[in-house]
Amino acid sequence: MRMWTRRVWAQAILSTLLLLGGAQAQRVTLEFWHSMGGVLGEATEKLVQDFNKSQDRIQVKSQYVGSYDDGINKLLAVLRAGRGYPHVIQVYDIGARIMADSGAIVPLEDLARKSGFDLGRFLPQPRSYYTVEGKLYGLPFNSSNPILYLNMAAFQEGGIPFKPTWSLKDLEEAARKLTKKDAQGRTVRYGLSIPIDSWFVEQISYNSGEYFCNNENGRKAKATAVAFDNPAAAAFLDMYARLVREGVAANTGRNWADSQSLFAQGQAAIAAYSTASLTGVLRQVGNRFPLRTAFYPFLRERNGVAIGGAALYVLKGFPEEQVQAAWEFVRFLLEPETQARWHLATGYFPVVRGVTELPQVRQAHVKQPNYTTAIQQLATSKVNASSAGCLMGAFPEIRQYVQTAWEETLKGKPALEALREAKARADQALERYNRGVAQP
Amino acid sequence: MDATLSRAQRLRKHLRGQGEALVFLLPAYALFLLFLVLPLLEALWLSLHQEDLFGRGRVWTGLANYQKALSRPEFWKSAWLTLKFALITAPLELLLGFLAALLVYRPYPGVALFRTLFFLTTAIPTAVAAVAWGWFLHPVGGLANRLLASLGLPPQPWLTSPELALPTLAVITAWAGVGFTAVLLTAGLQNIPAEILEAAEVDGAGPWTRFWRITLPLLSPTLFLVGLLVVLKSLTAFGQIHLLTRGGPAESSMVWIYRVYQDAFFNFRVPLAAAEALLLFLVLLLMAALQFRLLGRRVHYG
Repeated sequence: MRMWTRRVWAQAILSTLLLLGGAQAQRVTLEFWHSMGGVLGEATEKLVQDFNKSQDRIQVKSQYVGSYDDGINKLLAVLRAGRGYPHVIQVYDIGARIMADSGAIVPLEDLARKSGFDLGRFLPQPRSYYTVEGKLYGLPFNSSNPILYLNMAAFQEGGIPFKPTWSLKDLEEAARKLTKKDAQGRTVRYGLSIPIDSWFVEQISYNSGEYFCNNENGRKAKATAVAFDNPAAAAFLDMYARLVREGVAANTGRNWADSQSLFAQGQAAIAAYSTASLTGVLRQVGNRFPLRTAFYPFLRERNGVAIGGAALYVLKGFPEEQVQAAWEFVRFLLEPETQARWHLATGYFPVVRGVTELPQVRQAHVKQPNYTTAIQQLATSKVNASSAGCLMGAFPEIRQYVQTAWEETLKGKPALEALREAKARADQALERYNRGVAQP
Repeated sequence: MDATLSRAQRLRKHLRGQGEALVFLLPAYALFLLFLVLPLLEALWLSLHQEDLFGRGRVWTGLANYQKALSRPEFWKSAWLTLKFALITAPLELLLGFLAALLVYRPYPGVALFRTLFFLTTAIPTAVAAVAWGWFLHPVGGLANRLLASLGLPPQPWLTSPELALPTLAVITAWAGVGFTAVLLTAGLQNIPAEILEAAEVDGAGPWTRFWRITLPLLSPTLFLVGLLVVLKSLTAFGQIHLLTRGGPAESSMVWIYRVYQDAFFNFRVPLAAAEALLLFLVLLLMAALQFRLLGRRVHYG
């Protein structure tokens, strides 16, 4: 009798422990690092909350880790330390090669295949951008592309009709016509304003069918040299420097905000920014003038732009169930409904099919057609290695050299010469990167 | 024998008094150790190694990173820019701070307002000040250029031209430091005994003579100390450069410390950047030693 009781007790305790243990094993907490600040940050936190509320097994704890540059450096620091990784991290577009080379992430494609997720649901460009050596590594979470912002009041005044597509030559002509100067010859309204950012040089290359790095943008084989000394990039920089000298284009430096304030105050008639800037620019412009957006320019024939933005990566080194939980979070973000909420809150475009057909998205697009420009631009872009975007290591360093080349052209150096000088430094950086990651 | 004993006793007594102080100093020492000494040692350790950007394959390379750093033309260009930056910033900051101190070291009605105003530049966080300066100096819509326009002068590319960016940053840095130098120099001016100046006045010395013969010599210890601090601060100015020019345009403001940042966090060459940072540390250390030396020799202590 006594023995029996004891056994019952023992069993009761054991099964309680097992139950508790089981329950604990099932509840998973995930660390998610992102670099979305301001309006974008609020939208990101909202998605995380939505996911946490949608089920009770996985709890995602999101953390803002500073800018994209800060984010990747924090990741490199924890990789160096060998501990303290997040489960999921957002890394900017140009970190794609670095992330694949890190050996620290689980390719998204592996997770998708295991759970039967159809990769065909992705739009082709976001998918091809983050595909490294035939495998999709990251989830294109926030995807953008560059577009032209047009001050339609200025256009009307200058008698220039709206156009959805622009060659560089057309752009230059329009910018000259839209420039207004005072009696002393000082510019009152610039025709064009583009921030000094390598991204615009990259995109003019892609959109003109050129490569930014060799081996077909690093898509056929690992990129071993840059290719930004191409005719499109040179024409773009030469044009910009020429227009700055003529007082037609503004030089507001590298800071996007300094160009955006100029445009929003009606002091620049045409500008180029990301589609992700749209919400902010619309807010800044207010009722000052009607704003329309158009496709990014090209040199001779329009090829198509590559996507920008950032991707989410799932890190290795966690128990299988946590990796699975991370995949479920990522998968939630790919649901058309989630994508629609994200698109409408931020201006980043959906990366999976079937989102633009949703009624809430259609309605919003009718109300503010400027949001469709990026989507249209993507849909009408050719899908090839050029528009897949350049995949290479050392990209953050190389961007600095391109920006320096741009600034050299403003000092009076011919663009091709400035780009070739930048290429010499960039090739060295890339060679050092490739050598560095080849012999870990 | 007796003398040594008494020396030992004195030392023991001295230490007993210090024990109490040590307890109070411990938290400060702990923070100093944790946030300054340990990172310094880690940087030193890193600078003697080579590794890939993920920290894999770390190997001991001795002084190779230092050799590499010193053999790069970029490094010497940055060192030169840093010197130029310091040569504009430090004298300007010292001069402005001194003028401000002369205006506020004696009490008069409303002096508190001016003291507050001068110190405000130091009290404002670098980030806030940099953003405000960014608006002020905006190439087109900025107040600075609109002021120039109202005077009939052409607008200036303050931060967007390679010629102007570094001097503009130096002026901003000097401006931000005025409050700090003014406070120290005010204290120095107030420490000059009034009797000496009065006596000189009675003896018929005019204000100019009193300034050159009494005030300035008696202030020299403070001036040297402040000078040292101002130079050291200008060599490590980072926030305003990061927020306003990021080392550009065309690397015209890529000062030493910004080169370190660039190499570590954009170029992912952490060991090289560690070596560059330690070289800068060495320069700062040498300069501090040199200036303290001069300070001991040449300065009047009243």
